[in-house]
Amino acid sequence: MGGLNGHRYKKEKPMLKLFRATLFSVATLVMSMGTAWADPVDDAQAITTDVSSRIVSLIQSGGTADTKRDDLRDILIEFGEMDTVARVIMGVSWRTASEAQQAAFQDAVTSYLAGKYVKMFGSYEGQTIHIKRAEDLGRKGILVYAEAINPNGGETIKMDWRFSAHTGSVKLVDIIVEGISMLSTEREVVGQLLDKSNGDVDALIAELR
Amino acid sequence: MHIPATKVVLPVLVPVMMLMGCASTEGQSTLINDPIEPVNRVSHSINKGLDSVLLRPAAKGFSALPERVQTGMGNAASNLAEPLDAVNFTLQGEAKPALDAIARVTLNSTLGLFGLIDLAGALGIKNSDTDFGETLHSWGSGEGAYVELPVLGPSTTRDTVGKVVDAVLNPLDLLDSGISDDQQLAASAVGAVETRSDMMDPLDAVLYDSPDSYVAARAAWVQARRAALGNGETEADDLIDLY
Repeated sequence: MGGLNGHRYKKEKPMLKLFRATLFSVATLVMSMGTAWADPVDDAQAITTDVSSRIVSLIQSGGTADTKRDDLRDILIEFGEMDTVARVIMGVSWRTASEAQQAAFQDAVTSYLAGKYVKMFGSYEGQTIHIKRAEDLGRKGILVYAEAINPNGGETIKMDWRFSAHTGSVKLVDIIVEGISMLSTEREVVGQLLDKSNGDVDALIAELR
Repeated sequence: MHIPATKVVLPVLVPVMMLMGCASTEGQSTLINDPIEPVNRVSHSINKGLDSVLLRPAAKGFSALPERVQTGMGNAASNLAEPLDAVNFTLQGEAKPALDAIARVTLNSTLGLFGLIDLAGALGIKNSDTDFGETLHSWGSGEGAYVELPVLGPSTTRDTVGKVVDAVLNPLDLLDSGISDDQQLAASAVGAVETRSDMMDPLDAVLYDSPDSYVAARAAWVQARRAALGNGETEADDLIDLY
């Protein structure tokens, strides 16, 4: 039977061959476009699942606080829109800061936030992160509503993951725990530091490191 | 002590509350009104000192207790708050949580062994907390200015008035419940230690890892309070602009 099929294939007409090849490339193109056009809200949920499980496993790893911070920093760089995060946290001074200062601040604030997130998740050991739903809030980005559920029946902690889809790909910008946004809180703290140093961005960067 | 407090505090409070009632919640921005920051910073340094020598070590000790003991102590402390919760839910026009609070304190104080066991919770009557600050919010009062109270911690002018009214309205005192002021104070202390213990790492991050712990505590507390008074879910308006 195999020989017969092979025989038939060899005798296939050139037009048919061309047709099959075209069909195959169109199908591939449609499939790849399907990936690019995936619903950003679905993407945000998938990233939340992925990132939260990575964070939980790095928190539960036996590493030191510094190793955990460095690992979380890598996660932020991979999944976060850190230039947006840095700009929002620095506030109005971002516009007058030099490109070098912006880059140095982004680097410093990424490590600083990684340390904060390690602390934040440090208390939630053993809890599972359950996604309730996700919503496209337009200009404000995409919000994934999740909660950390304590298997021992303790309090459930609300945890909203905020994404931006502004650049075309869906990127993490904030985690809001029980209504407390990391972005808003650190923007206030950084604003105060800048006030204290009369807007000295280099002093701010030194303070965060 | 609560009887003279009623006589002294109410005539002062009623006009203050009426004034605050005029301050509408509409157009409340994400900004924080903090006109007495220098005074608040003094309270903050006192509170931070108290945390490092008293509350934090107590919370560490609490978390080392067996899980069952922690839960029992927490339940007993929160049980004593139910009657006042029932009063406030009633004032807010929230019938279901008011009745739930009454059912909870009745069940848990008797079959639940003086509140040590949350029997009502196991039966599906869940705990929800409230206070007179929330009652004022439900009546349309704005949050007012940020205040950090010595010992009691972050608050607003509205919520500070709320705390005073709560002290006066507490049915445990008004109804001769047999629960002494000392016992109520102990329950509040257990509640504070339990919360500090539950939030050990996040609160450590705010108080000891932030370049300005006053601002970090203020931002975190105000956001959490607004979220607690909201409809329970983060909305687009709560989020700061990215672009």
